[in-house]
Amino acid sequence: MTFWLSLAVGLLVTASVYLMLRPSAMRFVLGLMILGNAVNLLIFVSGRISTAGPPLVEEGATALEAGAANPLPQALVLTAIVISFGLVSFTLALLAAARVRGGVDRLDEPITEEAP
Amino acid sequence: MTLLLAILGLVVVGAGLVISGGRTRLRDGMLAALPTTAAFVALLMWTPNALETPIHATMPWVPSLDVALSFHIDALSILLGLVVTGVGAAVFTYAAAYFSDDDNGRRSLGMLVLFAAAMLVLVLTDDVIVLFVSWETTSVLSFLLVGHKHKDAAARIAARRALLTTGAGGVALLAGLLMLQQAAGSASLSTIIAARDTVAAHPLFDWGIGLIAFGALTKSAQFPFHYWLPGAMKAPTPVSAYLHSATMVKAGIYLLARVAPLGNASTVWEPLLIGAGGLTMVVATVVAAKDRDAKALLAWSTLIALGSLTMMVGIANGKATAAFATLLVAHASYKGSLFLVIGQIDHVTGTRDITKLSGLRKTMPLTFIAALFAFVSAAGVPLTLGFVGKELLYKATLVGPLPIVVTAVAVIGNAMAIAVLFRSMMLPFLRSAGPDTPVDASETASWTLQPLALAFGGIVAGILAAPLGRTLLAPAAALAGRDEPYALAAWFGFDLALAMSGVTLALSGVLVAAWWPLARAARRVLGDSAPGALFEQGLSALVAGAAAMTRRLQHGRLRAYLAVILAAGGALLVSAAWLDRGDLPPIATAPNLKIGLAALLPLGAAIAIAARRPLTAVTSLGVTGIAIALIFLRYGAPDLALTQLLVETLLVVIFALVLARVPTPTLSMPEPWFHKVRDAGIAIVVGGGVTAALLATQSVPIDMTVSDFYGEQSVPGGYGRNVVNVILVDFRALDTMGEIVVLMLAAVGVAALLRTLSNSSTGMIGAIGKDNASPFITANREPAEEGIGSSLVLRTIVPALMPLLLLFAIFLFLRGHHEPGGGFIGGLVASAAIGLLVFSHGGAATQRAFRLKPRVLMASGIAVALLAGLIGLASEGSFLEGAWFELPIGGTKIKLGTPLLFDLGVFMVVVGTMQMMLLALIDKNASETSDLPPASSSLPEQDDETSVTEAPR
Repeated sequence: MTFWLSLAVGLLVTASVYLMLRPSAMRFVLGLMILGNAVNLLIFVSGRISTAGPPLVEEGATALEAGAANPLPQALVLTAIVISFGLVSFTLALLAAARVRGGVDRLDEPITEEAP
Repeated sequence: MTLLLAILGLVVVGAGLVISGGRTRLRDGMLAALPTTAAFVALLMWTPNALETPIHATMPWVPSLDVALSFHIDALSILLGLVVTGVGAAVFTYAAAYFSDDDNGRRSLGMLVLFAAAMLVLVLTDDVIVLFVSWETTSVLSFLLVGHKHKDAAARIAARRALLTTGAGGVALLAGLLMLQQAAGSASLSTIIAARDTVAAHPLFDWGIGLIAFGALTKSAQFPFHYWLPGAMKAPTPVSAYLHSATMVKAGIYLLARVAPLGNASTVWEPLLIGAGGLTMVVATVVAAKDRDAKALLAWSTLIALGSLTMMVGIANGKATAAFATLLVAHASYKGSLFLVIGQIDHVTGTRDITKLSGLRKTMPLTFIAALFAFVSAAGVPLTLGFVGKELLYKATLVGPLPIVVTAVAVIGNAMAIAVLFRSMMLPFLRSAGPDTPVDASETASWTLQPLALAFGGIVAGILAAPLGRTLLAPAAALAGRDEPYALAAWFGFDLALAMSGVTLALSGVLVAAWWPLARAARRVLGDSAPGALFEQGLSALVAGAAAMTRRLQHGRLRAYLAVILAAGGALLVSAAWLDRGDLPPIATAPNLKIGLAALLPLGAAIAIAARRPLTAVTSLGVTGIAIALIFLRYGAPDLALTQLLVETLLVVIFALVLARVPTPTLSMPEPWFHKVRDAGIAIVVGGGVTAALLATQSVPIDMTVSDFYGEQSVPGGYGRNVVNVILVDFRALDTMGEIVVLMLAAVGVAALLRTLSNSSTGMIGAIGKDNASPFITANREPAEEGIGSSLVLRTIVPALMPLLLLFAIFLFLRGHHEPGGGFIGGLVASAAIGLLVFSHGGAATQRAFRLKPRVLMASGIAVALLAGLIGLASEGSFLEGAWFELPIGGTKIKLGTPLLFDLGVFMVVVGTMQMMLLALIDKNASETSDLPPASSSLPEQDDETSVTEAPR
């Protein structure tokens, strides 16, 4: 299963990179969304996946039983999901502001210092 | 110890002078000369001791990097130290008079004093890093001193040229020194030199010694780096006398002599130094005649002298090293003196043009005597130190297999130097007064005595050559050479070298007589090109090239930047994965549900690429997101699955709200097909790289140390059975702290962006409603109070659902420490509830329903988290460390701890963040607009409800 998940992550990254390189600002945001998901999954899978159960200590036990899922990548990914949500929201707001104020929708106009 | 105190004194006096600024007084010079003289005396007293065994003293400086303030004082360093301090005392008192009418005088005098300190450290230290630091210090101070007249463009250019050249040399020197340090395994210069055989056998040796030689040649202005020295004559004359004649340029020669025992083990060393020194002499001889400026002529003669010194270090037989030590002292004395003389002449007559100066013998008699003494030493007249040095030099060139051309260069170069000095320093005194002679030229004792003393020292040393040689010069020379140094004497008898001295003098007489035809010829052949023109051209080409490259690379097209970054990153990933490749994990081939789940991911992404309408794309991405949530659930990560689900939901909500606000963004834009192909190529490389890297990761065993620690410590240490949550709020709480702050900033950013949008473009927003194709908005465009999709069902059911949802959120939050849940998840559920309310009842109603303003909620969340951290700091001794206590309720005891408090902070921040974003998005008139501090923070705060009614519709 690891193989297929790795392949899926790679395909997600491929899609996100392609979208991020499009001139449409909206597509850039879509790419960013996919990238966030892909990277989260990447971290999760690189910490090894198992079907043995969540990293919850049994009541009365003192330590996690052997074979339980690796808690470390989960802690990393949990906050990463929330942060990438913040990032996408911010980028969206930026896009909205640019769209409404300057009518800008394309990303390939060069930045000019004089722009108001 | 005295010596260290003297160096410290120099630094203090120098820094004090630089800071105080203003014009110099005579006592400033005395003050500066005091530590200098102390150092001179200290060095002098050590002479007999140091010659027996070198003095070694070490103080740790940066022990972790094996850098120490260590000093190694032997004959060679004492020789240089005496020159630095001896000439220094003369120059400082002279400079006090020279700068007495200059508003920046004290600053430059102070820098001269600092320079002396750096120079002393340079010649006395034993540590290669300290050597490099002091070396660069002298370069920087030289830059500042050459640029003394910083309003003069020529001075600035000259200063920059000197700095860039010697700075490049300094970098090379550092590299070279570090290589030798590697080779010897020690940062001590004396140890490196002692381990000569080991070092010379090291593969880096040739590079190291070559780079050091490179650095030394730039510092001593040897060909092909000679060009910076004539330009540096823009410096005030005391600076030229001290830095560019007596000391700094000698630092390069000193270093060459210091590492000569190593250098002689390399085959290129001798031809390199003889070639560089000889070519310097040739170039200076040819070009000198062009100049009329007496000071520039002194610079050319200095180059000739430096060239011969470099040559002597390269030849390295007993006579050559003796000549090197003798000439070094002689040159410092006579050239320092001559510079001081020309400085005074320039000051009183206002010119340094040798065609104008004449008749000064009458008006400046003492100065004349100083110049005369210095000149006879320079000319190599018997009974001067210059004579001794020159005899030895000729003897050295006559030894062994050296080609005759070396001897010829030495003779012609010296003859030219003498002619140059006669023209520039003697004729202004000897010629009878001409029409251009300034009449009021007169001299004052306060700056006549110093050149006199320096010049006189050269004569005395010449008479006492034999004892001086025994006690100091020969031992110093022995350190730089292969053979026992030749014994010095005031007179060597009639021999070939004496005859060559005679020839040199005769030749110089011819050159003096034929000066003007020579000068015309030189100007005709060489044109007007100034020294360093090539360097300046190269420099401007470099700057232009850099500018062109910047224009090409920093073109401002963000997509291209992104493409370059991604392509480079992808290539890196692919190559790294290829290098670390291992066995593939087992490939499950039987079709099953999980593979179908994995297939959903790229499918959703593919639809997003093909989608023509934004909402289609977002929805299809929702499919991907939910598939990921299911994968998390399947592989033992219920927390992640919950978070992912909630975030996906909220993201779709936010997308919908944004699409309702702005004209529908275009998805497909016209672009050349090959752009698509190129970007698809980049995308495949990056994606393939990620897959390959991930597979490569799986092929090596995973290190579970950290994970196991968390798994074992979670219950005993963190009193929580949900390991993921314990990691977030206890073990790695500081990370989480940073993350909630970032989240809050994102929300503030969103609100700020959308607020400016509301304020600035009300009209546009009004127009949007018509052409908006979003299904959310086509239904109605009711006032904000009505909510967006104001379906009756929704409006009825939401108020009933609300308390349940919030209760569920709190439940999730509370159980989080032991079961899946926690601050993040609870907060997200509460946020989803708020989102629902926003949809059904609109922003203002939502704002009313939750009395707390989002920004207050977020700020208190951070404050609660901080408080939890501080309690941990106070009771457990470490910020954010969990502090626990038991609370008896009824018969059972409940464990409460700061991690719970911290999680509450997380909860509050998450809810506040989402609330702020949603309210900012809901409408231009959302009450949130009055809720933001920036820009209008000086205004009295508005009540939420009034802002809603007052805001323009």
